[in-house]
Amino acid sequence: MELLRSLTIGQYVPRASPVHRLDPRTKILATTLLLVVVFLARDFRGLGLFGVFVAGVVALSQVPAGFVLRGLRPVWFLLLLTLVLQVFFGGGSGGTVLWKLGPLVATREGLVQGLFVTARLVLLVVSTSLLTYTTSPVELADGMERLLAPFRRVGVPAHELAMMMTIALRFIPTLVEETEKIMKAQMARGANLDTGGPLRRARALVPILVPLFVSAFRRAEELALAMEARGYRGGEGRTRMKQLRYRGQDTVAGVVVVLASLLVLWVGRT
Amino acid sequence: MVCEGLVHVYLRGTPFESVALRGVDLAVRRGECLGLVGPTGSGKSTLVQHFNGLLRPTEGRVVVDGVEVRPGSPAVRDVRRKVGLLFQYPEHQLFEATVFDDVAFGPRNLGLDPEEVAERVRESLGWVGLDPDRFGPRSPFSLSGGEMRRVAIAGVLAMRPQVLVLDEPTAGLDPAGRREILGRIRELHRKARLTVVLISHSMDDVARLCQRVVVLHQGRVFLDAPVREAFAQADRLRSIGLDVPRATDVLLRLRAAGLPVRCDRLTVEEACEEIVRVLQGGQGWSSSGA
Amino acid sequence: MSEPGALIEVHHLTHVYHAGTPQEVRAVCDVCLTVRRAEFLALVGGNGSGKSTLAKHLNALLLPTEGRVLVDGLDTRDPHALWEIRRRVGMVFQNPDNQIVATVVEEDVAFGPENLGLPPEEIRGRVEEALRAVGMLDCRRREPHLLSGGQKQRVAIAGVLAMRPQCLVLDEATTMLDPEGRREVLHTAHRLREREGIAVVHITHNMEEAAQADRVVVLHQGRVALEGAPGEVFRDLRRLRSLRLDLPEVAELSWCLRRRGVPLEGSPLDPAELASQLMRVRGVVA
Repeated sequence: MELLRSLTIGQYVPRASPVHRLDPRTKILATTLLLVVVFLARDFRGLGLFGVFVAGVVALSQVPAGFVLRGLRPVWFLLLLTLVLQVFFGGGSGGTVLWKLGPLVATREGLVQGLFVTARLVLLVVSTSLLTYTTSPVELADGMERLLAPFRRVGVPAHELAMMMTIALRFIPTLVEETEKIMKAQMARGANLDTGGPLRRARALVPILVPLFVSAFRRAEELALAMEARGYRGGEGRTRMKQLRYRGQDTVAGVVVVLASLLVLWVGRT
Repeated sequence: MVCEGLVHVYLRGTPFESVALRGVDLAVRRGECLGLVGPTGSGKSTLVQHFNGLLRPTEGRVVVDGVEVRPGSPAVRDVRRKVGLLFQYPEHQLFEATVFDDVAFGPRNLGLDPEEVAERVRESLGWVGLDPDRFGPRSPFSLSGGEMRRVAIAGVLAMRPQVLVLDEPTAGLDPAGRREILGRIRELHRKARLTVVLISHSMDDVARLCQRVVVLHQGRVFLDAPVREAFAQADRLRSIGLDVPRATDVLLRLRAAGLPVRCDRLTVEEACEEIVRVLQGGQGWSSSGA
Repeated sequence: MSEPGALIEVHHLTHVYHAGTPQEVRAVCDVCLTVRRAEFLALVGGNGSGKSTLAKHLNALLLPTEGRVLVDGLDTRDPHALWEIRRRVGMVFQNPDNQIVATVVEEDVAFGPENLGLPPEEIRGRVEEALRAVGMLDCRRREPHLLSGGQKQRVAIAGVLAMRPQCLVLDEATTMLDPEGRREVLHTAHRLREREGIAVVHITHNMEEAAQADRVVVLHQGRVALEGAPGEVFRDLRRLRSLRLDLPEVAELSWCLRRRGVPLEGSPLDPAELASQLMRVRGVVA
């Protein structure tokens, strides 16, 4: 139960690296570009270059490499599955057979394809993780809000979305604490939360979830009242104390990312 | 219930590590009413969660009724039946569709048959002053805050515990509500002969209800004494940020000014008697006013 | 009609919830009340006395069913005056968690000024000023869930202060705190009243805290039952018990002693005062 408390949100790793200091908008846009590029890379050379670039950014960000690799743990099953599927079905018809497993045929082409797709997935996960490792959730919310702001004219509720995200982030630790308290209270009444099959355990969640929801609704009401009392009336006419500013390093970073992307694509073209 | 050398460290080995209890030795006698006080962060909540096996000691052990408490073992269920723990703002744990079902949650978890469960629910609601017929079928969320709290207390009483541990049972209640709850606790202690452990910030409440006081400070037992002795040590208590009942405070000041009053009087009534006794020890007083 | 020196005037206020339905509840009934500039007013009452409902009228979170509420001359029913009223009368609520919006203390304090549309530099200045006034400046970059109850409430007060109000309403703001937190919050409130001349309306059912106010108003079942200086209001134990309240301990002791014939003047609320009066009585005897 104490594990709940030691959870950090979004896996943000605070460091004083040049990557951390970049404007969040730069990082969001860069990550988006990189995601597109990783799918456009056609062969191992392009992907290899991409990998080198990403490794460089990881080193620059001072986030420990072990951390990054551990971030792959949640998706290891997906990676394995992809590899296996490609090995057996990815080679197309008439490939060089490596071995047979009953009706399943493993081909060399499939293996190559499998490794390629898996590598691409890994780079995908690492690139997006880099964003959350180097940017705090608050910065992310701010960055998203500013980027989406011009789209308000076409009906995108940028301010409301950002407000929702900030409030959610603010209350996550509080809700985790409350869940713990409720669990303890029900356990003190003899509730058994860790035994039984899946159906039993699901039913055992009711005494936890109902009070949690009731309290969450109550919080929402009280918070809304408090916000109104402090003059909140939506995003119109609102200013912000924290200003996001593009600086020299953002331009440099932007140029570097664009150049690297072009290089990867050009290499993959031939 | 006995605690021997109890140590508890939260989140050991992480950057958030904190020592909550540093070697607590404590014995709770059957049938007594024990007050547990201390500044915030002194470890009171942590301590009582060891009594019913919700927390595992980092070091040391807890023994209830001769049996060591081992969280994670099936024997823990037995301890949770014997030691009823009521957290702060217990009304936040209510979840069932009817008051009856919520109070029945405990007994049902014990695996009792429906007649027994119904019997216990009726009895427990009676103990907290809620008519089972009127309140049983209602939704707990339709009740007032004070009523919800009483339902929560009934829910713990329905387990028929031998020990009742209450963490700030009067938190957030108005004076009338506080008097009511404390009155019921006193009844439960006297009539049902429950052992009671009361965590409270109110020295006045502790003085009124408890026979013995244990003061915790920074995870250690600072003072463990019968209630009158404990509150006589005003200076020691004030040195850690606590206070004495206000009536006792007045007596202490009078004593310091030279009046020979006894300072182990804790409640308003007792203090009043004592002051009157000493003042009349002269011969009554001039009725024309001071 | 307006009293000079009056900041908030409540004229024959009635508030009915769910009017016209079977759940209709008359929470406040024909209440007249004045909050004077720079005064420390305690509004006490048991559960169901209507004090929270009354509080929400002071900053137009609720509108009167009957009667009028004027804040510095502005009528709460005037939709154009709404935001100005809420700037002048700030409110801190009971649950320390459910009023903090941001993930960092200083950003939460900035919430109010941001809503006012102030320029960022000005906001920064006000945030610093407000945090300093409540003694939380060194916690400015901390996350709210790591703070104690008393600290959270002080942050909430700072959030109100940053809007430069004339009145601070503490709606049971100390009810969920431990004694240390309560001391912190009250100390802060008293200091703000002395230094900045901000009126404070402290809504509570804690008699000891109410005894420290300039003036006490007691509500019972939606009506004003008692009003006056603490010494006047906290005299009769039975009267207060009938209102679901109590006397502060020392006042109760004074009451007890007076019933036994001890000649005390007024109703001392403070242990030192009671002790010195008793010594004088003793002096007369001896």
